[in-house]
Amino acid sequence: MRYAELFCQSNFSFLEGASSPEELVKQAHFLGYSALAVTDECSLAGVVRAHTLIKNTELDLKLIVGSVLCFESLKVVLLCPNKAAYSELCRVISNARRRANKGAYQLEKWDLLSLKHCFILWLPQGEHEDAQWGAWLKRYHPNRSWIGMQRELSNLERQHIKHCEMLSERCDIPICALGAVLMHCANRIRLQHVLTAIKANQSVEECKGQLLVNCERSMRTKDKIAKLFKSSWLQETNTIANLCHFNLDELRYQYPSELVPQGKTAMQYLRELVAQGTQRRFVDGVPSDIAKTIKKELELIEELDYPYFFLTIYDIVMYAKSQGILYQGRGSAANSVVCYCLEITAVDPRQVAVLFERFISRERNEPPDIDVDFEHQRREEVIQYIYQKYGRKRAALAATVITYRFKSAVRDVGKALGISESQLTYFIKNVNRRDRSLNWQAQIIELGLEPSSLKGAQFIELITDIMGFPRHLSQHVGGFVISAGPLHDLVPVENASMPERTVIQWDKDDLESLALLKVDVLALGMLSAIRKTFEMVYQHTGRSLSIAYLTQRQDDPKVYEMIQKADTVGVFQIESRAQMSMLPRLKPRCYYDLVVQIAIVRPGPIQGDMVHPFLKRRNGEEAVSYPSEAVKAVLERTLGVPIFQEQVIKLAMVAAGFTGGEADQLRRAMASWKKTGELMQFKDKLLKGMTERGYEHQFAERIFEQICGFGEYGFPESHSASFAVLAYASSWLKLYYPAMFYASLLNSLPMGFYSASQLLQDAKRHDVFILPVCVNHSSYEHTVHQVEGQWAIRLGLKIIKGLRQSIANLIVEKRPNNGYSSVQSVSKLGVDKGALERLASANALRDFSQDRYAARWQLMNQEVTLPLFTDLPSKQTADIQSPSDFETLLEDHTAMGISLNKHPITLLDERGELGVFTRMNELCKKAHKSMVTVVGVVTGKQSPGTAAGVTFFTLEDDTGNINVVVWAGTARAQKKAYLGAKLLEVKGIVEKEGNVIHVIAGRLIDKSPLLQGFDTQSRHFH
Amino acid sequence: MLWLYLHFPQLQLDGLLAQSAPLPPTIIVSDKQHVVVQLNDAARQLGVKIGMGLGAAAAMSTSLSVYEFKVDHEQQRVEELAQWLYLDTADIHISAPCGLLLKVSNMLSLYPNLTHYLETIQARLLPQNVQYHYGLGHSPLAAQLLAQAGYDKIDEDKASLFAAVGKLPIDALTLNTRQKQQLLRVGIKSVQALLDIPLVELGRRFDTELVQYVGRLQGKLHHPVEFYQPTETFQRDLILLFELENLTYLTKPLYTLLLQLEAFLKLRDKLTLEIVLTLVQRDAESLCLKVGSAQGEYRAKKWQELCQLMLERTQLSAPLQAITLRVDEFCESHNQNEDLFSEPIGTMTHAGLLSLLRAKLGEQAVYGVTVLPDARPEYATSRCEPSVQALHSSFTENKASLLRPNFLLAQIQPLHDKVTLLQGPERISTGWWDGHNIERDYFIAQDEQLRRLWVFRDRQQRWFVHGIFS
Repeated sequence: MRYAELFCQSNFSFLEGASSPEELVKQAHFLGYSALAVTDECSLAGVVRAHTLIKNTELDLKLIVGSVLCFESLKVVLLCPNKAAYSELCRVISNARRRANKGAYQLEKWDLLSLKHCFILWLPQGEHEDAQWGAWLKRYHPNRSWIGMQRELSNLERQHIKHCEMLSERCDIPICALGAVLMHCANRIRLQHVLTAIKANQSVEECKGQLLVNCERSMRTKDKIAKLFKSSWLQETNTIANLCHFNLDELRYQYPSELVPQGKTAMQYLRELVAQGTQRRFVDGVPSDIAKTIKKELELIEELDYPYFFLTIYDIVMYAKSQGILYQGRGSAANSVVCYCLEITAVDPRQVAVLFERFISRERNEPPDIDVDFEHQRREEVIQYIYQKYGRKRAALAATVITYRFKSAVRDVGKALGISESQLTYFIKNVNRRDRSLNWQAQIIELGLEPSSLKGAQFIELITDIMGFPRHLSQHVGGFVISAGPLHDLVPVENASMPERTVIQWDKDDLESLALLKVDVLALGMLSAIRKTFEMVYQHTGRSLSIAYLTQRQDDPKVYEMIQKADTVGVFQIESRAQMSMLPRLKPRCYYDLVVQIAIVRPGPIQGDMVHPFLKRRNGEEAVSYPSEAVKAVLERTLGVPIFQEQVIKLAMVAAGFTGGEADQLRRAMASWKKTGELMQFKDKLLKGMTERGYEHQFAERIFEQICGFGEYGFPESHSASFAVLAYASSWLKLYYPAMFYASLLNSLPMGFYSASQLLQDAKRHDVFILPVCVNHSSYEHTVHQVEGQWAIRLGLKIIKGLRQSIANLIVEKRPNNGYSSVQSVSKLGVDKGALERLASANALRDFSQDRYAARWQLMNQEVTLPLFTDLPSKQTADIQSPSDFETLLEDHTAMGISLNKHPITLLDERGELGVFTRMNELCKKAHKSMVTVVGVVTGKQSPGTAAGVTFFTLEDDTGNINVVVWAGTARAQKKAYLGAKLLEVKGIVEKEGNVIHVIAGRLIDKSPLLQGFDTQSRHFH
Repeated sequence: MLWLYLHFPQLQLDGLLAQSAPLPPTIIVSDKQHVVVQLNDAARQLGVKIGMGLGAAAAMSTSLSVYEFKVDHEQQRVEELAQWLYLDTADIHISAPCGLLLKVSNMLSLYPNLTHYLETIQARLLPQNVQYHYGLGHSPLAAQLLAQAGYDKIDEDKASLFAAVGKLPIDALTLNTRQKQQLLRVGIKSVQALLDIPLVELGRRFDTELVQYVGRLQGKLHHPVEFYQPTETFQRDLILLFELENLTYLTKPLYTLLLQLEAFLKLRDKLTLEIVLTLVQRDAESLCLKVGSAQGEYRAKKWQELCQLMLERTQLSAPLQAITLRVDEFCESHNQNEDLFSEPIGTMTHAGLLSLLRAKLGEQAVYGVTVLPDARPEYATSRCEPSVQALHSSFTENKASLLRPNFLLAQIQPLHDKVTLLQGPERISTGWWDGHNIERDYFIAQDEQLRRLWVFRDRQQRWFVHGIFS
């Protein structure tokens, strides 16, 4: 017997379907179904996954695209027999979705009336209106309508069957058999019940009345189906399945054509643009090898038919350029010479000739990848440009599928099982997902969950099941899909939670599977900072800088000298603690070293244990060798040690014999392996392939470990290459124009790793003067001035927390030539009391108020702010003392988050409260491995995934930042200080490696009580 | 005027301590913010502090016992304490949620001196097992601040008391956070600094609430407080002239008490739902009988009837010496006369019947039935508190009525007879959440006597009868 399942909802029918599209496909194939329709409710979000699995594993199963929809008392499954029907369905879903808020849909009768191609399987609801609907369907959609018969073995099923048969006879509509599948197998019923409960926002016990009473909505064997349904109904089902021919592979993406001037082909136009670009980029003529590369690249673009893609990105970046928005492209295709000529990137090909796989790979069969980063504060302008140019019908963001993660799973499953909220909060707060030695299940048991109890066992089982389940669609950070015709012919579009944003129902993997291209428009804070620095440099020195200018000047040894000292606070990418500790060991000397540096401090290389071999080989302590010539070609540029994602994939091809298609699947599995665990299926193949080709088993194992590590944070060379340019440019600016650089960083906050306070401390250490914020001198932004021949940053009014920009601007615009002279003169501008208070708190009224207490006391007197009394001299009426240094410090931090006055460590030391300790600037005099006591404010606490069991503390004292390493054992034994301390004393051992000094913590002593209300924000990275 | 303030910082914890000692590390956490509000020494030693978040506290130790803070509980306890103290002192103000303010001045004429007065109060609190701090003051607020700061000193000297208040930080004031912030932000950090500023100056800068507060603290402005009134309950004791061994002779004396109750209730136009009758027996435990009337009642005659039914079922274990009639709760008398035409048929209302049945058969013997939305037949109905309204609604509410037998067997029984299956299967396979999962196919079957049976087959293919259709 043949059977095709025509009604099946996956977990993309959120909180209803209890199996993934992949599970459903596998099960349908296992049960020998001839076809499977994936018909999620008003959604096509799951179909591509089903399609991809069938295609990749070459299953003999026909996929039918469809969707189930409800309108009043009418419930129908729409199926797509052909491409026209598919476009129709996309349109109907888009319309219904666009009418409602995010997550909901609203169908209208017209939508159903307008169907011309879709098949309609009607699911009568047993209502009075059924007879009318039957007549309506027969009238408007004859020959394309069926009654869908379900068998759920429910109590009232007999009546329902009779009802349907009566309708069929009366309306002359044939009956077909449907499984109405929600689960791929019966044991998913618990999860299905839990999902129902989550949807109802109740516990399972509370919503018993809404639960399925049995497991009949799972996929059933063909034998069982043959028993349950009449053969004539099954016949109809198979007929319908046979009539469906649409395959998602038929979808062809049409690029917007308006980018090409009339009379030219896209390729002609691209060649023209590249030719113009070469003249700009290579003023002294194009070197012959580069000319050759350009020719090769263009041929490849033509062959693979990608010119539109490059033109689309070119158009976007040209808009950004015209608006003075700084940008930088990255990704495999971005590092091509073509992109350099099109000004998509500033990676100078002469400098990066070493770059190996720099372009779209023909054999790897992957689509070109170009992400463009824009200044984070101005990316919205670019997005608006795209919407304006292509219209909302033709441009939309890709979706990101938000899935159940550990925390959300615990919360929702726990609630459904009736576990109290405070207990769940307790679990969530106390499970450390980074702890590799103890999995979360064991940790929850340690926290008091009884694993042998019924609830306990169910809790753990259901969390495991639900993790990775999609919860809702969200918008991708910046992946745009732009098409020639209306997008909703291609894919349904729905509303995002941001107003005026629309997303398509597919995520980036889905797009990739169907070879649809997206353009990534991303935001990057460092670009804002760099652009602002360029502007300031021009304003104060007349020197005009650009990223391309810096890269074209080739490597500056002084810049690398600074980088090698790990003097990189504020510099792009290489400013994190882990990066900084690696810099003096790796000692970058040229651009490509930076590319390696950025990629090496990542989970991939570290988990694969690639870092130490690389350092040894680089320092000449270990000979560079290659297991084979083929491997040499892949690994030569990194001294035989695989560091980049591309190298690992290439290795899978040359050393383990993966085909291009397999390598592409491997790459994708890496990206999503945490979610799906798909990667393990490649392990055997990889190890076997490599052993067969004569590679050591150990080498193969290491490569696989590294693949797993990449899975978390895949870092390809193509991205590292672009990031290295920004790292170099920001280092260069920090070295030559520190005042402008720090001021721009401060103006671009929030971004990067460091707070304003930390940046200012660092600026001071680089001999930059910092001038306090003041109503008579500050602008809104932070500015740069020369004071006695030295560069100084004048803090801007924006540093005052809660002060509105409009008020700050008012104060600056209306400022008299000789400045404001009293509180009244500021308040007369119409500055409200709250703002005046904020100014007082930041001590910005210092020019005419003794201190902030006095300023506030004045402000609070209502008579002062009444117009009649403005000329009265304000007299000090109560005897209030001035704030102490410590109070000033506290107030500075509360009002601005920074302080230019004495450091808390200085103050506490002056009071004699700290005992004997060593300051940061004296640490270098201490011998390696000697005992030391340090004290500092905890400004950073980081337990990176790259270093298991280690927490890096940053302690700030009045001379600088001290790096403290705390091992897990130490932390566990001294939990109290480890978790809670704001001011920490550490007794430990000095470790020196080159110029880098660490303190390995032995004892942690919480000194926070000394700080009282000191408001220092420690940044936690989890 | 002198005031005494008693501050109870950990009433809920005190309650736990009274139940069992020693207590494991225990914290009490506020319900909204999940912040530690009370904790015992064992928890304190682990490093937990007041104001710490639950997560942070839990990270200190996994063996913490956590309780949710119950403000109602504390308030109730404070009222109880007030009730006790009322025996010793007249003017008590309940200062929510956990303090008592006692007016000392007038009481001093009844006690030899302040020390004696205070000792009496302390002696009264001793058996209550509560932690407290006290403070004296010449204004209610001053006394309160000192008590909350744990002053605990006998001192009635005005100057030295105000000096002690002056030394407190601004944070000790019972102002809201915003007001305290305002003061701190102009450099006023101690209460003394605040008191030093003339009220006029404060008036120009702060709201009247704060000015009034300072005035009251100084005792310059009147601070009205509401004094505690003991709650009204009805209680009458009756010592019997003769010891009774037969309860039928109790009718008359009981009736006199019930008449007093009737008078008491009539005067207040109230009804009561329950009376408590305590029978004091010689050399034996007293018997406590609760007699209820579901619709509320005040008439002695009706209560007499209900009591009679109860007494008929009661056995004395020793001769009866005295009885107490106590009523704690009253309810409003609502007009029971419905309109002329909708008067219930018969003389007995549902509620009346219910009271009668309960009195006759005992509380537990009478219950209602409610329908639950559980798919498992055994769990589809449940016993519930009988209520007059529920009788009508619960059966009609049941939505699309499933085909179910009217008569469900109390115990399923193996099917032995030969039957013909008429309809089915209806598959029920659910109930995993409470461990009583079932997997059954139900059928309607007809046996040889033409009875329609509700039968099912379980997973092991065994057949059972579960019900009979009418």
